[in-house]
Amino acid sequence: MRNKYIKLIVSIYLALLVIGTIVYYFIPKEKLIEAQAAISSRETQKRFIAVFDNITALPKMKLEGDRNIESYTFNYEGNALRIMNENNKKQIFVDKKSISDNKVEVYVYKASSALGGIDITDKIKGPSIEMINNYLNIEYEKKEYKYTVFPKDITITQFYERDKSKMYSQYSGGGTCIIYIKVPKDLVILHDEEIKYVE
Amino acid sequence: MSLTKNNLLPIVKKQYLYKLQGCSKFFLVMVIVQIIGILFTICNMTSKSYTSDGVLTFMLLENTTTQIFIFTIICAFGGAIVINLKEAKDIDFTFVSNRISSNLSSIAFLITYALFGAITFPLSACFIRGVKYLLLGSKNIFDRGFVITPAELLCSSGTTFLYMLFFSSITYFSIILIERSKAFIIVLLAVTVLLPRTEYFNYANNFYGSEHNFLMFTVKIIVTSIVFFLASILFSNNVEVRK
Repeated sequence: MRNKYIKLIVSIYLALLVIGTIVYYFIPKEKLIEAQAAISSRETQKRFIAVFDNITALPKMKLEGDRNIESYTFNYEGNALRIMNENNKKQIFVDKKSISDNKVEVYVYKASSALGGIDITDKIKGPSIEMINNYLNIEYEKKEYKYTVFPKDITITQFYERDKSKMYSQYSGGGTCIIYIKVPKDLVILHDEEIKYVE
Repeated sequence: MSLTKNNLLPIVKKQYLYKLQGCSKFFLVMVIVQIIGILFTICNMTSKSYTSDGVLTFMLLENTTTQIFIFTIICAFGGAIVINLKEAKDIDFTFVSNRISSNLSSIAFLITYALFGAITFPLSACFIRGVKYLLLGSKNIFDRGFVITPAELLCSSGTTFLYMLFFSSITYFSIILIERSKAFIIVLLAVTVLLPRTEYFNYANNFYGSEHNFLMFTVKIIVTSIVFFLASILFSNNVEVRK
């Protein structure tokens, strides 16, 4: 290839890189998702077991602002309620209240989720919970969460972020839920799948 | 043929400029190789994923520029080999020259080549981030690692230059040895195969790769490269002119 064409190609490439770099520096970086280091898988499991063992504490934990808990309250005046938990096998606990206040309270505990060591708990939507006639529908929509991350270039990591990089494990996991339902004392619960009653 | 000290530098400069013209396709090779690396990165060749309860699927796409860096370093190897090939060396004999001027102009060319890599590699990392942002938007990109500060950009550029210089000097020296005697091919192959299994390799790896002080790293690499280049000049100095 003649020199002038080579010069032209190399110049175009350099120009593209320079333009790309200028564009990159004008990108509003604050709009990106803030990457928080996830808690360890061991800690996630420990917290999950603690919730499992003390499920009645969920309403109090929610009041205290635990971000892993979502809650729903439905007015319900019927005598029987069928719990539909299709397409998934979430752990469901049903607790009969000591009063008949015509209110069904649902608490969903989402275990902390991590993706490549980054906390994504807030990004994950819990199951959709709806009251339709005398059905309490618990449905988990099949969903794919796709995120992009840019590890620092190896030419940078040798001198920067040596200690910070240790903050991030490469752990991926989570997404599991426990559902705790508080129902009025006289309400009859109908279900096809296994549920646990809180004594 | 001999050269007086007084006209060595002008000859080196002429040879260097001539090599820059004659070997311009090296730059094209690096451009092509880097474009391939950029495409690999943009197309997300590496990802991690897991599925929770068969319902939720999580995928983390990692846009690492490591492959572009490796490709660039391979170009440094290639450059040091090809500059020693007969076709490239024939350029030297367009002028009245000697081994020293030939080596110095080749070294100057390799330094220029390393500088080119040192400019293009860090910019390609920014370019990829810019393109990905434009393609995906902000809501799916984590800020971790996305931001490259100007200081990091300079550091990346310096490190790329130093690594390219380091590998160029070693390769250049190896080729000079092979030029002296083909027996060195066997010696170098043996060293390449056996060295990674020895403690010396770990020591060298720690000495350069685990140096976290940029200034110290620069000194180590520059000194090593100078040693290899000087050794190359010394070893090749009494070789026949057109060998």
